[in-house]
Amino acid sequence: MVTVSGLSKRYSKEVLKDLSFELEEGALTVLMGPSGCGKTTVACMLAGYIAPDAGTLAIDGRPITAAGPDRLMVFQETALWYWMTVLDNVMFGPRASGAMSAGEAREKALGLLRKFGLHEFRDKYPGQLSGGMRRRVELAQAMINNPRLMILDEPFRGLDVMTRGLMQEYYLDLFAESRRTTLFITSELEEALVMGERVLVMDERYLELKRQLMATLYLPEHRVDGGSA
Amino acid sequence: MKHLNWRGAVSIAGFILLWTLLARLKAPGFAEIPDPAAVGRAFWDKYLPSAAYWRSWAVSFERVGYGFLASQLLGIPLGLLLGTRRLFHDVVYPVVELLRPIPPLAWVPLSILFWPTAELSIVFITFIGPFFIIVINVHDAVRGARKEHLWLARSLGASPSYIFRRIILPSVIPAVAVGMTLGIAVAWNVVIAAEMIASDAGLGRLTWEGYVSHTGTTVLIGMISIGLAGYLSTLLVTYAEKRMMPWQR
Repeated sequence: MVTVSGLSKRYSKEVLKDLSFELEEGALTVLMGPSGCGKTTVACMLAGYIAPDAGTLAIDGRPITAAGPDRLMVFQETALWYWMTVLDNVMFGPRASGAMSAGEAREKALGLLRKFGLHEFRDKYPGQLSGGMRRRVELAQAMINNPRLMILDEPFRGLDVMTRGLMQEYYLDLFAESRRTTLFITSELEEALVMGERVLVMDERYLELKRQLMATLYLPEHRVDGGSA
Repeated sequence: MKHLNWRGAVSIAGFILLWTLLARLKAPGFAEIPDPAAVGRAFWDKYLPSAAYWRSWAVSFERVGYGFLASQLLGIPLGLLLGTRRLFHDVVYPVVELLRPIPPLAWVPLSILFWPTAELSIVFITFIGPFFIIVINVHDAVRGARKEHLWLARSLGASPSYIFRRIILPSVIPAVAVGMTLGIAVAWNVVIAAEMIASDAGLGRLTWEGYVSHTGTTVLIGMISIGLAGYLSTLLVTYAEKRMMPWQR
């Protein structure tokens, strides 16, 4: 269980004010809001990259104060290291932390790449892959560390419509397999409805829109729930 | 076989033709400039078999080689230190910013006074030009490293030294490559000028002696040789860059 309580942050202007929410264990929660409303700031705080001015964040009751392999984030823009091959990118985590030997890490990474349909691209560099493939490498790079919480910050933004749809399905299948607690951030209502079991909105204007959509849409597999965060 | 660049070949042929016409017609300013055929003949008869001519190549290449290598060997670590160590940056960077705008040739008098031999002073001046370029390029690259790259490595449990080796060092390679490309051109610019001022050997000196003795063919052979030497150096640097950045192949 992830608990966020009374979060505030100010840069040149106030970005977050007294934000509280919880992420249920094993649920895929969407955090939706317009650009600039502080979604990425929340993601970075959960990942431990940014400290709040006020408020607390905790995972299983343990306060979040620094980055750690239990909370991994997929950024808006790919953060794969372009000078490393796909395989080296995926193996990085267990090698850097010393959690696995080189042989073990390689075996596990190759297994994940096979599962993600990227095995034959293991020796390619990120710049030689399509946008969708890069996203899958990033998922494999995170999954090899078996994180408790996946934070996906508008991960499919910039992909073409078809690839985006495929990637959404792809992640939903992956999630259904593992039920890994996920926070999926988006600024698009349609994506939020496709991805979310629970949708948290960071702007009250969305609530009215959601009520309108609820009257005309039926989503048997995705319960749309939520409130102003 | 590599595809021949016909447009380039035609362009060079057109340039030589134009030069021939202007020289033979004694166009304004061309009275003392020999045509390409005269230059070619002089090269074939006098310079190609001359050991002194090839020594000029060797001397200039050696100076550029030492100066350029030293600039990279000292400049890259200095740029890394400036980019990663705040205290070091605060103390040293103002000095770098003060010295950087001084043109390399302005260092010639001081260099001659400081170094015990003319040879060392020329190598030093050849070092100064590329040195500041690489320092600033690497410094800016470290400072401009994407925070997401560093964050992700931290999340994945990498120690600061592991991050330095696996993330920061490779991330500055493109900046090093740009610094090398700019630096080698500057090194040749500087060495030729320095040889004209303070040396009795090298391609710069050869060109200058042609001017002093009013031998147009020597001046032009010197200039063409400098162009070729610079081009060959750029090929070497480009080859090194490709080896350094396999992800760009």
